[in-house]
Amino acid sequence: MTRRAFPTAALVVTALVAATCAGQTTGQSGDDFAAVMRDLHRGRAEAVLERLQARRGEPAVAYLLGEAAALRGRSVVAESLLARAAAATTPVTALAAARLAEQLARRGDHRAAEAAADRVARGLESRGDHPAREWLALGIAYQVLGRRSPAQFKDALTAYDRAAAADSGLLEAHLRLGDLFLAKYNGPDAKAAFSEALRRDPGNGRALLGLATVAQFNGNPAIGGQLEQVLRAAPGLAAAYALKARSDLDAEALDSAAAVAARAIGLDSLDLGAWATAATVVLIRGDSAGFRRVEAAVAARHQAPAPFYAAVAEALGRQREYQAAAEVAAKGVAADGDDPAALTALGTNLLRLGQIERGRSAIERAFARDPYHVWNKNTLDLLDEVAKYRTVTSGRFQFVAAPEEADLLALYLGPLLERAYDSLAARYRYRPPTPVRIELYRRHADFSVRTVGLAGIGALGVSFGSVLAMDAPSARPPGEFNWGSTAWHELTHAFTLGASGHKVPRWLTEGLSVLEERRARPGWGAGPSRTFVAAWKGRMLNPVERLNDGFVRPRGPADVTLAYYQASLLCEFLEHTFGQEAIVRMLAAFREGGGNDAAIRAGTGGSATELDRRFSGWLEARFGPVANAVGVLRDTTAAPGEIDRLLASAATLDREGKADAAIAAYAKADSLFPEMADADGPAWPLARLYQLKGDTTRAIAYLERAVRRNETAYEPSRRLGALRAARRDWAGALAAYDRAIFIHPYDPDLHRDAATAAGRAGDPGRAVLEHQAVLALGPTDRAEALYQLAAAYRDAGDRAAARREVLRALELAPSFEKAQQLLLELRP
Amino acid sequence: MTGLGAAAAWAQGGVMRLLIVTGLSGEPQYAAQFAKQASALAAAATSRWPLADSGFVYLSENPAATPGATGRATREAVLAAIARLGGASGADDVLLVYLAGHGADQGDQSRFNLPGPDLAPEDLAAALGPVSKPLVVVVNAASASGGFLKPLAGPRRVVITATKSGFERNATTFGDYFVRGLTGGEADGDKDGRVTVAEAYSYAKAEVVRAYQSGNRLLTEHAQIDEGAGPANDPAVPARLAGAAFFPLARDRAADDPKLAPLVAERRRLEAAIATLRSRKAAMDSLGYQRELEQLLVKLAEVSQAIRAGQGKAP
Repeated sequence: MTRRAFPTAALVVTALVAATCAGQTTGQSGDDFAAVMRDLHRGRAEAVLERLQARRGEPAVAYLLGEAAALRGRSVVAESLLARAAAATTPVTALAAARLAEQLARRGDHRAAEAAADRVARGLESRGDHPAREWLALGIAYQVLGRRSPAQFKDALTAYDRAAAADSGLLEAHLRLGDLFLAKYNGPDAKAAFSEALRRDPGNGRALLGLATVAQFNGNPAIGGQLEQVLRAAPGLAAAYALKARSDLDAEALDSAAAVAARAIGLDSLDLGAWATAATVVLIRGDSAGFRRVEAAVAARHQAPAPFYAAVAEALGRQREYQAAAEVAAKGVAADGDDPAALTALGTNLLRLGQIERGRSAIERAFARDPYHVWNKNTLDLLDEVAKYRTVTSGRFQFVAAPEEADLLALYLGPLLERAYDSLAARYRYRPPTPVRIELYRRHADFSVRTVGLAGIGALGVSFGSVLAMDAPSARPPGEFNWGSTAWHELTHAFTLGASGHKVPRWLTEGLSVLEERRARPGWGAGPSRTFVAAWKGRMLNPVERLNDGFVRPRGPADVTLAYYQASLLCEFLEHTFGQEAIVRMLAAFREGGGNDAAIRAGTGGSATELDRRFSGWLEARFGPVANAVGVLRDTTAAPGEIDRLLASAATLDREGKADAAIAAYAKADSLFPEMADADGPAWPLARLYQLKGDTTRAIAYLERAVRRNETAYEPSRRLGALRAARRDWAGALAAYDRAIFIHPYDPDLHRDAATAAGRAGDPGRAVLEHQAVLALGPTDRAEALYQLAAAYRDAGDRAAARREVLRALELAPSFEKAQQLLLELRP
Repeated sequence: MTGLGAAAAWAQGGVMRLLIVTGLSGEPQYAAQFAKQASALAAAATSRWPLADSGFVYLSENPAATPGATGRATREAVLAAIARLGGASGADDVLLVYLAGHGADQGDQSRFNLPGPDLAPEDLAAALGPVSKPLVVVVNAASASGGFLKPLAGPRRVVITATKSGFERNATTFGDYFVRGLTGGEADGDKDGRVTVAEAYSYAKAEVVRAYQSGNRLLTEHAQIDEGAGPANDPAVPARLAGAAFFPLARDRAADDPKLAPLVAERRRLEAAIATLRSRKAAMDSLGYQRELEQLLVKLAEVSQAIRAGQGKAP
């Protein structure tokens, strides 16, 4: 939602009174009024009550007392006081009436709220000239009316703008502008409005809270510092605690989330966000009776608590509990079928569960009621795009991809993921429901929208259980990611999510997914990097107890990368030390509602601290021998080590054409850390230099190392394949080409080379697959591709398929001599 | 290949005339690129295309240093060559004009850069105006060549440009692929031993896209084609001219051998029957179509095998 010119003819603006007399409003001085409002913005309800209690008989004072009561969730008192203020004729009459309407809406009495707001709007619209507080009142009334008529949100925005223009010191106008922008998903304008309020009133609690909310809205996980600042400035602001509780919940810190939510509810029992966090915690813990108690408490305070259910559903979705989220969202829709947040939560989670049509229907209903919802707009656009995609069913999988690449990708993912499914099912004793749907997006922005509703997510894939979404290889330049290992990674999530009843924490599910990537094929998945060892040396890694923090509240992007690999090592250690059964027991413990400590105890028989001690010893044994040669990373400071210096020196020598000296330096670096998996490691340049010297034996050896340490080494894989093919090592060549295909499958020559290698290696089935891939790429010379496929089928002994394909070739090219000969050869 | 009408015309004795022009190169790498395209065309034309006597002109930026060049590429020389080659061409003939070089877009005026005055589309249009008999194929493979399309379009003309407008000014690669397609076998989609202009164009366009994509580069050349607009009811003018102008990949020696004449005639009959059957595909039931197609294809394969045997080739 953005600003626009005033939209309706309902208001005729003449001269605006730039400064209404605040003193006239309450019978107090303007400074006193401002002081009261500043207290309220800091959550100091008690101070306001104490200061004004003696004058509670004055109608204008009743307004301020009503605001204080509302701050504490005392709805009956607040409504009574606001009604009294609205009944009298004072400068805050309209404002009190509008706030009364808002209070009615806050506890779900939408009919009464809208009637009251309508009266306020009609009364004010009949006049053209307004002081600031009447513009404010009008904005509030429009905002209440926006529920049934979304266009009025824009009117509200304009009215708040007028209020701020009429009295730039009216902080409430700036704050409400910020809140409204944020409610309509416009982070930048919200931030500007809150910043303006803060500039005028440094330490304003609501402004600080607004800025923290904007940061959270923008996906910044590190809002802890901002929240601490808000709570120091406004310790009585329930919404600040509610936001902290949500932040703790998203960080999977359930105890803290529950405690902080309780504190928010203690301050304001009408704060549905706090109730939602409390309810989510009890649901995650499997406490259905506790959830019913929370529902009852909310129902006692709110007539149509759809927003509560929507918030619970959104939180459950963020905790990867999509089925539960959809069920809770459905309750919200049942409570109020017009609530856009409940409809959005329902639609979003149905889409995640693969129920595309039902999900789309809910999102369309939500969008009709809130056309400013950018997530829903993006999602509907995406669904229009996906409607053009093609679904290819292969065994237990459905591949949904752009028509021009669906066949190609399914050719490879089908067999790969069938193998993965069997392997993972045996290991985790769980079988995700089939068919598993895998969506492959040609544009990363589309994948991002599918995942979080907005463009800009950094991930490559996501698993919602039996629905996976990921970038298609065409979404990124060659060499940027490995789509085979990514699919394997996401499918692993389907197993660990399912085995844990969707309660597995990030560290364990991500750690297992990376470990399974490594197990799938040598060279896939993250490996030990210099950065990781340097961080380990610098004690930058989180202990086991706080391993999740690297995922859910990282200090920066580097933390996430380190956390993935560290978690995978911990899983490897768990398996190695306690056996695979330990992992199965841990997933079961999470499924039963146990926390991290209980799960670790179930898996290892000891505490998280004990596990951390043993894991640290294991890391020491593994990386201690190379530590001296690697630099050290502390906070943001990195000190290079001997390997870094050797690599830099080698690169310089290489550039200067001093091949022998460069080789010596690269080889020395390689010997100091043979496992090194960094993309800029020495294996690839060593291979290149040896090939230039004509030493293909060493070139092949180093290429082999390069591709086994880096899953995205496209060019080394191609080169390795070519060198092995030149030596007639056809099986080796095919293995190298296979690696390249899972990085970038769009070069027909690569598939032709792989087909040749497969044929010579005695793998005619694979040769058939490679010729199918050439065909799926839409070759210019389609007749030739069909002929080659037919020949491959013949070589594989499938004469019927060979005949079918050669006839297809000849239908296109009747005079194609090679195909004619093959047809005659295949005559029955 | 499509467009059997023109194919028949060629088979009845039509010949082709070829004008190759390589313009200002600017840098040695471009001089080499343009020369490579020209020499490939010249080699194909002189070795296997039905080239008319005196029907080959190759104008180069620097003829003294260009093997095979017949003159300097100036505006006057180009226009004179068109007048001569076009004037000598009959109704069954093909005139191919191929421009390799750099282009420019000056305001709304497209240009092909030559030593001396540049060549404008209007110059070419004026020169081609009197050439009404042969099928004319003009390929401007230069950068910023898009502005040549509309001024040159007309009946019995196929016009191809490497770019969609004069604003695509980067050096192009379209010509490399077009020449490769026209002279090699890769673009021969129907494997009939002849590459049509349409096949070469489709092949080149696809390969350009593939090359840019594999290099992860933004596509800066979008080739386009105009296939003319002959009278719809004139059987002498195929609906798709670009499918009618074909270029043999090898000389069909069987057609010249009287002993093989019956088999060659039978092959043509079967090819025509298959073409007819394919045109009826949508109206037929699938199984019946497949059965009939297979029978014809097997017969055609047998006849082709017999022809090869008659030529002393391995079956």
